[in-house]
Amino acid sequence: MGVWHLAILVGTFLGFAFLGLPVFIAMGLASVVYCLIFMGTSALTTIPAQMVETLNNFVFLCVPFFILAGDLMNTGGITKRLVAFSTALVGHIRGGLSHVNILVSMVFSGVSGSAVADTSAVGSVLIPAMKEEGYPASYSAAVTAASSVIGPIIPPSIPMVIYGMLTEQSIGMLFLAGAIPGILVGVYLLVASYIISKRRGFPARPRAPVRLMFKSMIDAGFALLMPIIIVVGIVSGLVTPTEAGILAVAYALMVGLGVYRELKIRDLPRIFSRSMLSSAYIMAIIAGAGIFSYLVAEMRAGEILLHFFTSISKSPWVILCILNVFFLIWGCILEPMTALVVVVPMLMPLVKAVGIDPIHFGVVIVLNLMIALFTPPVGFVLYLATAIADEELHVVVRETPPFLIALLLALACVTFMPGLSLWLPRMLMG
Amino acid sequence: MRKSGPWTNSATGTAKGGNVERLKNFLMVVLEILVGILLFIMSAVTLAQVFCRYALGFSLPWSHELVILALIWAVWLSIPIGMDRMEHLSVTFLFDHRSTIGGMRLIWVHFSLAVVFFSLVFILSFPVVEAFEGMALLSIPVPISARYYAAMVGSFITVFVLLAKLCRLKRER
Repeated sequence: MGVWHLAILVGTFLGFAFLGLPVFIAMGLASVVYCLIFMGTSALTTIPAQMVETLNNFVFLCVPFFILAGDLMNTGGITKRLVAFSTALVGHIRGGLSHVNILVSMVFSGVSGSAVADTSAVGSVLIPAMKEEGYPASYSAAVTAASSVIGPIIPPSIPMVIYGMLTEQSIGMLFLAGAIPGILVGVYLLVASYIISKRRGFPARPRAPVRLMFKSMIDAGFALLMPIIIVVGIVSGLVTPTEAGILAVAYALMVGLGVYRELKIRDLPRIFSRSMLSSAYIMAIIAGAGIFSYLVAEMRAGEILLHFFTSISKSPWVILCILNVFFLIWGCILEPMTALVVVVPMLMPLVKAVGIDPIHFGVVIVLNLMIALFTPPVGFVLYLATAIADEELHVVVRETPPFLIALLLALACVTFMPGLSLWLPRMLMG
Repeated sequence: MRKSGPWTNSATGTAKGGNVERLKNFLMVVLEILVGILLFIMSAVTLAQVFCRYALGFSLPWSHELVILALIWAVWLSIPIGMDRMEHLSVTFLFDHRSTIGGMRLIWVHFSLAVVFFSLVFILSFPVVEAFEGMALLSIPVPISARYYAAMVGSFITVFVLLAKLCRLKRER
């Protein structure tokens, strides 16, 4: 009976979602159908109640705060300073701007926590510059999209906050757990980009003088400090994730208005509205997922999946392999946040039962779903980078395999070497 | 998946039209300002709480409930804006391969389903609000039902926005 309940709920949701309805409405309508079939009309009142109750959580406030901080930093002129710093650092290596793109994404991820923000901020500066230097537009788009995958891995990370909320895991530990895997992904992409650049003879810039390198580092230092403030604040237990988010906002305001002086007071109302709207689109999905999670818990979907998977194998490695393949496919058809909120509550009993560390699992699935952002048909960052590069999608897709291989290799390392994710949080937070 | 998709048909755009269209556009501007103000309030109150707690050594006990209330209202008031601008996240890759006539029919189906959903949320919010009648939040003199009024108001405005769009679609057909 339970399997059918689950199949009907998920099937109706996918049906509505593939019709093209906004995801949270698809979740809501699937829940309405489910309630009408199995629970009766009286259960329908749980829909608005759960949609509101899910948002009734102080930790969710860090989502708009991190988005606002990223927006303030970006409008405040951080991107071009990061580009200048990265160019001084790695611009002289063959395929310099390609490496700069990846390096900027690694640092920018410490400011924004969102792959889409990363693509649009870094892409709009670097793709035109790369095209001007003779890189193919398709390659420029592919490298920008691939590198933005790092955004939600290196802290702060909005998907990690959502995962932490869904699974009741420490957000500080999740942030720390993402640091080394994020750097690893960056290194793998840098290697892929270096090999491609060498083979295709991409240009290199002259080596920057040490003085210029030092100056650009100081200039970009304010951006480099932001993730440190957030992570140290949370890890040391001084502030909660939400308070870290508001400190990041205050810091971004201070840097944008007082240090870089590129942020204008008159820009602020627009930035506040824009950030709230971007956050609300994520929060609407979380609200929709609230009803979904309630129904999933009611039908004991976690136990159903636990029995199903443990009948195949009880080995955590086999389960992780199966889940990786599942999430790669799942992420190809659903946007990461949706993919995360729909499935994670169902999988947690299984994850705990087979002895997979939930923190490690969080990093694996967030990385997995971010890779899916880089692959069609969902591949939102790929579409965005393609649009910025003004290129045909199929041409850009042809450039993606080397980066995809690098990302999958990194995923394999993170999956089968839990120490990569767990060493830092265990060392610093016990 | 990407923002908008099937909802980005030119026929569903936000060009100026009749009185209903003008009212809707005015409402969207007001809501956009309002959600910005709500985020500003959330930021200011949370920052004040952090400052008081760490610098002055006391807490603002009302701050948590106030900012959560503001967040709930901001999210529900942003939903109609997202529906109007077709910015909510949706899966579009199947829709992108539809024919023009099929696409128009599908847009009708979308709008109709969305109207049904938000009408349900609006109607179903009444018993929820009633259930919390007379109960107040712990630290601020605001009824608990204020949270659920956000769903009621947000879904009501969304239904209005969707109906305005449906009328416009019908007119343009």
